[in-house]
Amino acid sequence: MDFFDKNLHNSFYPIDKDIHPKSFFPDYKSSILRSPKKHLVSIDTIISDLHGNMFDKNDLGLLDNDLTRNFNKHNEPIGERIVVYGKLLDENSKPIPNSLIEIWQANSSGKYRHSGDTYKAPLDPNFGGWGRCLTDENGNYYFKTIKPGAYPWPNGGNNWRPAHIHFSIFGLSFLQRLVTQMYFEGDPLIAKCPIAQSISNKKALESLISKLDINKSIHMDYIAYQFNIILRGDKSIPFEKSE
Amino acid sequence: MSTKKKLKQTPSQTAGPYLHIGFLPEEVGINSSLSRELNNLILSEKTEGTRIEISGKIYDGNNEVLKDAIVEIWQVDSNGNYQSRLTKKNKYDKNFSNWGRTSCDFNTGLWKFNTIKPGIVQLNKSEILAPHIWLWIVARGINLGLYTCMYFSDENTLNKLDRNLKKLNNNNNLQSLFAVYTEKYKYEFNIHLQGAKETIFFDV
Ligand SMILES: [Fe+3]
Repeated sequence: MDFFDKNLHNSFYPIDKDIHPKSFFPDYKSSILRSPKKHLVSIDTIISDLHGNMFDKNDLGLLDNDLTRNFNKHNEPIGERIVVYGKLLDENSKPIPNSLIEIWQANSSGKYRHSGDTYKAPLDPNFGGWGRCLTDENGNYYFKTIKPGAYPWPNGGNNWRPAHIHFSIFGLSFLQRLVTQMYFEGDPLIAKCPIAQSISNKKALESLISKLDINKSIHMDYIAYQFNIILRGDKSIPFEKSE
Repeated sequence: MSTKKKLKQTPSQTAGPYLHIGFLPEEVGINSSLSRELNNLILSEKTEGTRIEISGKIYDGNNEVLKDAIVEIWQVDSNGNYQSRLTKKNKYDKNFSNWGRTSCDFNTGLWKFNTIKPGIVQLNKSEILAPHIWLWIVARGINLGLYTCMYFSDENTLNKLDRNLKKLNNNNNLQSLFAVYTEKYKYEFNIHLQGAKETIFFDV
């Protein structure tokens, strides 16, 4: 009868501690003073229903998912033209429709359009490095962009970030909120990067590495990389029968 | 009944130092004139409820203020209704977004939201949630986004009845969840990532 009686408990599978990076990972220096020392407190919530599905197509601009054009729509940016595409699913393999995905990245020389970036590499007047989109009814998303360059960063040694694109994903509930980074297949810097290596589970780290998909490439225009994203599953929705 | 094998969650990674580009592009001069910023949609003139300001700073293990973090909030409306995908008879205030986002000031580290005082959530006949606002924090050095929950220090009677706070009675840092009433309609909620005053963060 009462709505809350049925939905009193957190209905999502827990955050998988084997998959996610440790909060305190001293090789990544910034984590030393910014990681909570106490255990996270488990809480029995009904907040699973405070959901993030409050955006619609009208909130987004037509070029929001095209980083090659959304900063300066008249001139092409420098660099390798790519499409990044994939599916947003939950742990039950259920597609997540109408979810906001935001991305940000360096330009092809590894420079961010950000006052805090002191790397010598040049800005590209035709590249902002910001994009967003909503997943479609089947959980699909895509971005058109420029392959970001690797860049050096201060971490006490000779540290270089592998080429990566930052992702922010809403899902349907704020319990599914995720921020992560997508890497590129074959990049030798991944194995040397403390941020990537903060994920100790090898398979989990591999799941952040996008796969070159030559079949989706467009002749004389762009090359495609596939990156699927999996968010926490809803326990209240039963598994689908396997085919 | 056979079941599909569960997929594995995509692991988190830090948002890094350049997160404003993705979250609040206008703050770093990336003007998306073709579309609107999503962070300013929390309130309109028609929103029901008492206007409040909540603000605070985030401190690291050396008691240094973070100037590069992003904070997001989720809350119910002024009547305690959730914006819900599960119920059809939704009484939720259509002029209120349950979500807000802001950044820490580049110079002072102060973050601030203008929102409305959330209502009491009536869970069932005997249980409530006192007014509260969920916060989620990401920044360089934070490998997995941190969830905490802000309650109001001037709602003592309701806080004593709160279903979740009751269970936290033995937690030494319980005080960290209460925003301080500083002046009329203004609340201060400081967050400590480490140390004696470490904020309670939740495994939600
Ligand atoms: Fe980066």
